[in-house]
Amino acid sequence: MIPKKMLLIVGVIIIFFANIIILAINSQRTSPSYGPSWLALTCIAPFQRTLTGSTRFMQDIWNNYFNLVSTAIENDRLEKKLSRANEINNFCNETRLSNLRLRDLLELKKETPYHFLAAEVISRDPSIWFKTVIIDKGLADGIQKGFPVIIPDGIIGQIIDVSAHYAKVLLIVDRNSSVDALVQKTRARGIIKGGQAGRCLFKYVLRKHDISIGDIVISSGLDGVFPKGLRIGSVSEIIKLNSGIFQTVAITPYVDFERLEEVFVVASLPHPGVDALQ
Amino acid sequence: MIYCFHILVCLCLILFQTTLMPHFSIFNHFYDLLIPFIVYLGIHRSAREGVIFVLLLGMIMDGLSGGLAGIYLSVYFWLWISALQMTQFFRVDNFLFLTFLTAAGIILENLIMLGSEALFKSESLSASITLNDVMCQILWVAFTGPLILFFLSYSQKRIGLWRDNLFSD
Repeated sequence: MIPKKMLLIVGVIIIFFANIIILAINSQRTSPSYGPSWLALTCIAPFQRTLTGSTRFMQDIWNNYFNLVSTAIENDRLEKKLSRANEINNFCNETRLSNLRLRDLLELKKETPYHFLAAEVISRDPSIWFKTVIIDKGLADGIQKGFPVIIPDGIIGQIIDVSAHYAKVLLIVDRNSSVDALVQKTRARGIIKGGQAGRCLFKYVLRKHDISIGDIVISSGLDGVFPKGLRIGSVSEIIKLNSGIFQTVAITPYVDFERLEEVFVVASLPHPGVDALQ
Repeated sequence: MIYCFHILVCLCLILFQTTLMPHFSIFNHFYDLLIPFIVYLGIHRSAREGVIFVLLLGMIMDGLSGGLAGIYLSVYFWLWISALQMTQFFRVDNFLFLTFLTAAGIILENLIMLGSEALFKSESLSASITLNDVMCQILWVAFTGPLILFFLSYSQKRIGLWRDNLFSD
């Protein structure tokens, strides 16, 4: 007769190894758009949406009615900023027009038009280990896995999971995220990965490239996910080891991921779900 | 009745953690609020009742998180098993014991997360959180974890009394 204690120990060991095997299998495959994830999004997200809506409403009341003390000063500052922005905008328009003329002359292919779907962030990842958010748009709105998510400040991330009315977005500051990028000034190419403390790492950049602090990093479009030319962040630190062919560059994203509220999901024109919505 | 209470508590904890806490920077390094609940299930509820909630919560959190599928299920399962076993050796209403148990839960969660990153990610290990983050979580849980546990066990007793009164009338 086997003692009960021994049976318990053997049981725990078997469960432990079964647990590791299941996790190993899960790590090799992408999760399907149904099952536990789909269930969680479908059941919990409506509550999250309601609660987020209420919180925003209260915040709006606070910001609009009680926090007007510094508005006049801010208004002056913004007016000056606006006139400067208008100047830059005029210059950009001129550049764009000349760019279009030159592209016509060279008979270059027209840039693919993109469609943007606005969505609201309704919740964040429960763990500090992972950086994801849930948005209130899903399959019914034409969103699919892999669609990039942006805001005017820069790139947010990409859709990794989607249910009927909600979707999960993997932020670019998450370790599992990758974006093919280049330095705007020098065109040095590399991969943006998530780093620590809300920063990103620009990896696999050749040592020969001269990069300086403050340089702007944009998406290269070569990963087939993010359109070319979207802003990601600026160089904040350069790490050059004594050996090796690459240098690692720390990037501070333009997006403040702590204050994400509304985002745009980028859907290219040929997508059938989006076509149906048009 | 008690099941409804547990479901309500789970829902409130999940919503508070994923929706309200991100609005306050003070909670940037807060711990997983479901850990005290799992500890509570381990020390105050039967194994049959606990396992259902552990599996359900694990799956929900896996669904809401961007981590490896099954990681929360593993964390909650092993924490629950540990808490279940601990009740055989310690007094469960001791404040120090509850503090230790919830802090151990936080360490276990971080160790499993770190282990999964190390085992199943092809790239070199560079954890996205630091030791400081984990220390912050432990400090938070040391002060608030036992309070959550006391609240849960007190509410459970009150609901039990209320139900008894209701049916005796």
